[in-house]
Amino acid sequence: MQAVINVKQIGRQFLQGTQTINALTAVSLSICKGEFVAINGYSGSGKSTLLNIIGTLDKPSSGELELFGDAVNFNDESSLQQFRAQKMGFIFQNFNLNPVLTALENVQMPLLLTDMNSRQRRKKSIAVLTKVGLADRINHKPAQLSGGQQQRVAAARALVSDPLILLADEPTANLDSESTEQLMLVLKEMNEQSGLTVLFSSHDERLLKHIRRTITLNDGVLITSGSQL
Amino acid sequence: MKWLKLSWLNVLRNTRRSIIAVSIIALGSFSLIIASGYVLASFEGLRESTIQGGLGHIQLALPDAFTDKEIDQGGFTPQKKQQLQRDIEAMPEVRLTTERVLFEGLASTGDITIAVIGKGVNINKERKITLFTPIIEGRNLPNVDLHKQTETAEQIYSAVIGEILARDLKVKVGESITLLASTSYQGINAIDVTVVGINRSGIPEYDQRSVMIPVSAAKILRDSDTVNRLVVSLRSTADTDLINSRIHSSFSDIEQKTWLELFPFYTNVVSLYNNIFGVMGSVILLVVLMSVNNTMVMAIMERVAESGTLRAYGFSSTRIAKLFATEGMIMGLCGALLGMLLATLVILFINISLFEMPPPPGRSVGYPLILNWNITAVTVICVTMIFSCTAAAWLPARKMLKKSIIDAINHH
Repeated sequence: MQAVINVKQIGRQFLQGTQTINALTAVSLSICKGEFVAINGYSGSGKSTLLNIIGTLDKPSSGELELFGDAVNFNDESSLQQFRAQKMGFIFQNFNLNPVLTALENVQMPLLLTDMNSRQRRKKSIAVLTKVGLADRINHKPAQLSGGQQQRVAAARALVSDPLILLADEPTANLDSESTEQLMLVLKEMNEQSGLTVLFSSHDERLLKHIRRTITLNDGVLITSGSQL
Repeated sequence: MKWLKLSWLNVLRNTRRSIIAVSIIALGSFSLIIASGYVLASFEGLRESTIQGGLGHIQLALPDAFTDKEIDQGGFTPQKKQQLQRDIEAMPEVRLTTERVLFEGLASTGDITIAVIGKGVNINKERKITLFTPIIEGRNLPNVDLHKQTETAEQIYSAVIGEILARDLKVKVGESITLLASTSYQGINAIDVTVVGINRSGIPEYDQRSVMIPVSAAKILRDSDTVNRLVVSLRSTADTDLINSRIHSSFSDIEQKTWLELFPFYTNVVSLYNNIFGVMGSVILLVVLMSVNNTMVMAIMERVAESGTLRAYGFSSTRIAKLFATEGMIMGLCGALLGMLLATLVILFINISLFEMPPPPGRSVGYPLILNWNITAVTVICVTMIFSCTAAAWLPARKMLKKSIIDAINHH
């Protein structure tokens, strides 16, 4: 199967004062279309750094990243923005929802960059919110929603622009078991129905039953890259 | 529209903070509009009181008469004066023209003699273009109609003199004084006139020297039927330069001066006020800018993570900076409109109330406080406020957006 993500010898160093920290050291791996992958590892193992680089949010210090067969030029910010807007969806640990907007308005945000008119944006967003089980919460603001509901709004926001890759950084870290289960069911459903490639970082044991492939990192070094589909 | 709505919602995010920022902008706009209203009213008051105080909009004389007293002893012949008046009054912008005979001489009661500056006026026309200084005793000069030959000696030989001059000469209304002046051929002539009124301009130097008599009396005094000034009064002061150049192109054998050339002090006053207003305006603008900047920096720092999220979703830094700038613009617009509304109401109230102001330096009478509401000034102030507030939001937003997306998302 075609690899949509191809990580080649990627390294990432950070300067902390005068000390250089190796967050990632020569990591190489491939992820195919439609995979449902977890990046596992202890805190500080480089999970988020790898996810950020794959999401083109961070620039590697060395190595190369290929997405959909093309090498990513990290210096071309304009192309990266367009790429992320069209092909990527993100879910963050802290949800990062706009508190003054309703669930519906938050979900519509990525669509503001498209040519859709307001009616089309609204229709599409309601459809996605319905999919994540929040049809009756579309006019609620984040403060009026539970943590699990907020994360499902964040998931709807990530999915509304029909991305090809969904990246989630510790998406269940702030959720209870029930909310975690609901979120994972939503993501799995999207993965199975539309062939969405899902990649998330987590060390949450509760997720193990949903995962078909686990990539393990330790101190920035790839330990296991799991089995591909 | 979608971006505007988003910015508007963000402005409402912290209502109290936004209200404080909008209030400061409103206060700044209000202060600037009131100050500009006062300054513009002062300019207009000075300009119009100068023009209507006797200068007129344009004065015509023989070439070099404005600088050479000898030439000024002469003047326009009745035929020339008539031709000038006919041609100039044919211009639609011209209200009317009137002749004057200016002279310097002496006023005497026999025991006391004082140097005076006099003018002979056509009282019928002068009434229409000059705001006469208040007559505090007696009455103004009587109307005279030379064409109907109905002029009596009593009408011709009458005078209105300044309050201080009357006091110094120890004359009262109804008493007679003798005026002496040079004739047009460098001789000396004298006439006796009856003081029919005493006026008070509020300018002590003027009230010490002023004598106003009918133009027919002045002609007798100078022993000449010429008039050394022709005063042009316009319907609007704004047409001064237009009419001045039109007269200049039509009549090459005369010299002309606009009210501004005759009263260069006006330019100095405008320049002084502009400097004061400029400094004051800059200080007010700086306070407003700092306030809006402070508000926006707080708003921006609270939303670093949110901005990072938007950038992750493909929003460009410029687009996000524009959102913040639009928030600044919205606050600037609300503040400027509120300030304009308040200032308009206050200006209306002050202008209706006619508060009396104390006499300015060099004057002995007060004046009513009037503030101008000038559309250009108000627009410039409001636009400056809106633009400044937009910039005050844009600049810190750009600075914040230099953070990497990861740092922004993880910012707490």
